[in-house]
Amino acid sequence: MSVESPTAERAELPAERGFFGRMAAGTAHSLRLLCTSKSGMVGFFILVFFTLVAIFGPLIAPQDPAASSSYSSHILAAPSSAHLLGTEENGRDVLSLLILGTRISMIVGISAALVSAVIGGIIGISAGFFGGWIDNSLTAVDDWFLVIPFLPLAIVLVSLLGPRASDLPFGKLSIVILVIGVTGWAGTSRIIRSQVLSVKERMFVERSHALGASTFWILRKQILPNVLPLIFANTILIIALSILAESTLSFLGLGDITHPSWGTMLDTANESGAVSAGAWWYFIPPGLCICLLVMGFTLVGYAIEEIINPRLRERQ
Amino acid sequence: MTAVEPVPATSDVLLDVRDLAVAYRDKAGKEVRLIDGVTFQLRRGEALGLAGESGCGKTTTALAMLGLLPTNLYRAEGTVDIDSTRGVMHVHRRTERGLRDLRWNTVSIVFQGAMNALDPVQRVSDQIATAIRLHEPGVDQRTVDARIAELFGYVGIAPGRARQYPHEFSGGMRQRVMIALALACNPELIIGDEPTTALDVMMQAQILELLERLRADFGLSMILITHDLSVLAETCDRVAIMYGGEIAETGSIAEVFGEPQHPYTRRLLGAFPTVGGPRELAPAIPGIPPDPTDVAEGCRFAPRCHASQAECVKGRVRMRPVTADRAARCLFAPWPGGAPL
Amino acid sequence: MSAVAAPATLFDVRGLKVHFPVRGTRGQMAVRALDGVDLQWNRGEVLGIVGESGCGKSTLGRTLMGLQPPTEGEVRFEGSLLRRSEMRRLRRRIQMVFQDPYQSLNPRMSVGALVQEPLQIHRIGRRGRERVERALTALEGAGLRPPERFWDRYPHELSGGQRQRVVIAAALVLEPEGLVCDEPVSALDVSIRAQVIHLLMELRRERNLGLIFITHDVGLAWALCDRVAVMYLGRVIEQGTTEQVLADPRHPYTQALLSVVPSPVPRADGERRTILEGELPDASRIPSGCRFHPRCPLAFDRCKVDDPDELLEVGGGHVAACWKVGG
Repeated sequence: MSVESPTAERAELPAERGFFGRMAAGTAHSLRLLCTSKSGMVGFFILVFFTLVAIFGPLIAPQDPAASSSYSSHILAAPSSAHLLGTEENGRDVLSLLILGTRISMIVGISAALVSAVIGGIIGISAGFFGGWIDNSLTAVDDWFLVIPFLPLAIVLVSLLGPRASDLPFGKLSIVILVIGVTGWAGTSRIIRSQVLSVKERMFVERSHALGASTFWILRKQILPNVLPLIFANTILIIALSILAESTLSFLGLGDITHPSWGTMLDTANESGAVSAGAWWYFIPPGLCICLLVMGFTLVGYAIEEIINPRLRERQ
Repeated sequence: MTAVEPVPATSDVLLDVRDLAVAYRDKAGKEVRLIDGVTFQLRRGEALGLAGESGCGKTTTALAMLGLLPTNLYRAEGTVDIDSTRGVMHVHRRTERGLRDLRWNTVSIVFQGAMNALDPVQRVSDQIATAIRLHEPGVDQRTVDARIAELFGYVGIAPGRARQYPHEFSGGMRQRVMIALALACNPELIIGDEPTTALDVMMQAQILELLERLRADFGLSMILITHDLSVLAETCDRVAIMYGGEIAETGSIAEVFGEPQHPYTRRLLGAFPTVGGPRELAPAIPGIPPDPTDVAEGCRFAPRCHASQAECVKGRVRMRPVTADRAARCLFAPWPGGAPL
Repeated sequence: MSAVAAPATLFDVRGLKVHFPVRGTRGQMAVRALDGVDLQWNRGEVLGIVGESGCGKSTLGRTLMGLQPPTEGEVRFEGSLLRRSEMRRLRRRIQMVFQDPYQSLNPRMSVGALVQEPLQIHRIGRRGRERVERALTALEGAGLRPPERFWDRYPHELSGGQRQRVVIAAALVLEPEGLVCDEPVSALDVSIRAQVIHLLMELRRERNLGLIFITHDVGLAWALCDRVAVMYLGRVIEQGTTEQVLADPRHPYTQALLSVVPSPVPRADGERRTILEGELPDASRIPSGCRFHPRCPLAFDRCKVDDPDELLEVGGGHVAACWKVGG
């Protein structure tokens, strides 16, 4: 790189990309990097599959489980050409329930994880960035939530708040989402706080300070861009946990029966004696789906973490 | 490629390196040489400085002396022979077992950042004892203890500190421990890879004085690797300047620093102003050090050389003798009055 | 345009102390990083601050830039006391170059964004073309030519020397009057060091830029600085022009330091090296009396008891904190 050559005119600068342009480029770049991880790719395809099923659910499902016409007298019938996964205790098609249950599981999982991410992100960033008594108090709250076992707390909250849910959109589902979100943020905020603390000490932040940047500027321009990718990777993993949490709560009967998820299916399968009747087509497919979806999110989440980490570590 | 430095008739030479080349294979299977054509001799009791910037191959050269190259590197060419008191050793031909016999007993090394190479959960004396026992199996505890006390005495650490842990020592003291460790088995040759780089000027002076004293007292031979030419000047007898994996110039300190015969050496010296001398820096060398994967035709330094001509980029440049024991890898050497500034 | 000439002194520091309380001792034990520093830096001057690690020179640089609040003492910028409200004004006029070019740049920002950032922070120039122009000019000034080629690159794609030039460009874009450089070349390769130093010298000549050059490399200070201040354990113990301090040192520490600096030029016979015993004491346990007395080859009774907290005249503006000076 010669230091001496003078320039007579300004060469053309590459066009300045707007915010969305940069986002698109960033996403494309990340997808390309994701291709390098085999497990990440497997997870990605699983997610794509389930997302498509969720979106096009009503179109692909042979029956509409909510319609009264779906109810029949063929109770707990084994799989046949008419019902690929047999029927449940009301004679409805299990496959349809499964397909539509995809939506619920995914929506609840993702929404709850978003709630966790927002709460955890705000608390983690505030604690790490402001330090002092703000940090101490927020960390104390964080500790509390970390220590309380999730399931008893969730059961108590859903039981208490459930009855008041009738006026909320989505009814009881909102409660479930809220409860999972509010109980699940503690781990995220810890990780975020550590990351903020370490970024805060980096020399380029001090340099910004020396340039005259205000606290808010540093937060916006230096800290956040270095923290958001971590929040993103962490959220994907939290989605996996949220789906499991929702399945657990639904299995315990705390879910919303009007919007049956896979967990609900497991619950009704249990209640209706499908297990003792040997109606495997009723309870194995939902269980399998839960595992697959959770695995999908987990694989993608780990792959993204791997991609992010080497970049955060300052390379030569 | 034949050696330019004539081999003296007497077995005064402890270490004889000829045409050494170390390489690795890249993803396409092509050979990439990190060092090439490295040739030099070290006489008994002499201190040779190996100078150059990062990436010039000096550490790779040092590791090759001990057969300590990482597994992805191999010797592509050349020989390394040590005429030690325990017999002639052809390092390049030795197996791992043979090398272990050579290491520490004949040649030892103090690595870069060595002060961080001590195991934090073991007492310092235990670590030195381990080294002694590895190379002298069956030695009894009393001998080991006596030797450790002796070593600490030489390097200037209070004997009572032997049982302490590494974190209880400061950086400079830990470096002394590393030197004691390197001396544990009475080697004939010590290689110091940037031994004082992380230290303060005063600490550096202490360590260098220690090394000088050890050389004088034990007739140790030394190879000192550093990028700091001033440090070399204070401690070494002879110097080999490396650039881009090759040796650019060799000679005695007085000769090379007084009248450098390679344009690189001349400019490099100018980057180390001396208090009391002219208050200026020589013009900078433009550009960046070369990439070993991108070896161009001709002189490696030509792209950055202020004295380069058309013929410099055609064909390999060999070491050209300047005097009986000086040589420079420059088409125009010997430069009357030294290479131009 | 003010009718009054701009003050000649940029920074005037008196009795500056920065103490960090040690945890768990209820503030009784403190790391005294700076323990009473007196210093002046004039417009257009290259001032070298020389010392070993632990002497407080980096803390001094950061305190001058307002990155570290002083515990005691005064820092005056252009005659007025430095207060929080003054910080923004200071930061427009004085910029800092840090030691590690690998850590100084936000890895997620492109070169173009990095160099424009100061303009955005201080709201200089109109958005768009004008700011881009200024940034490109700054990149050129820092020796990155053609600047357009670097605009979209990210720090990890650049070499150490190039990164340091980006840091300098970001500092230049505000057209500062002075740069505080904390070991700006120690992390760079030897041949690249000279490039960056030459750049700084060129900038100094062309723009009458003042420089504070914090370094442990005495040779560089000799070659580049107009005036030099030597620090030991949180104090400036000797100050004067470069010739005075480095060619005719009066403080025993400076004398010892200079005697052990290695040099390619063979030592004259009779020039002994004064290698000091031991190590720099902990900054939380500074010796009583003169802080240097335990290691000083010339110490006498008074040194153990009396702390020379004032710099005594040697002559012609050359001062040193030693009882042997000035009677």
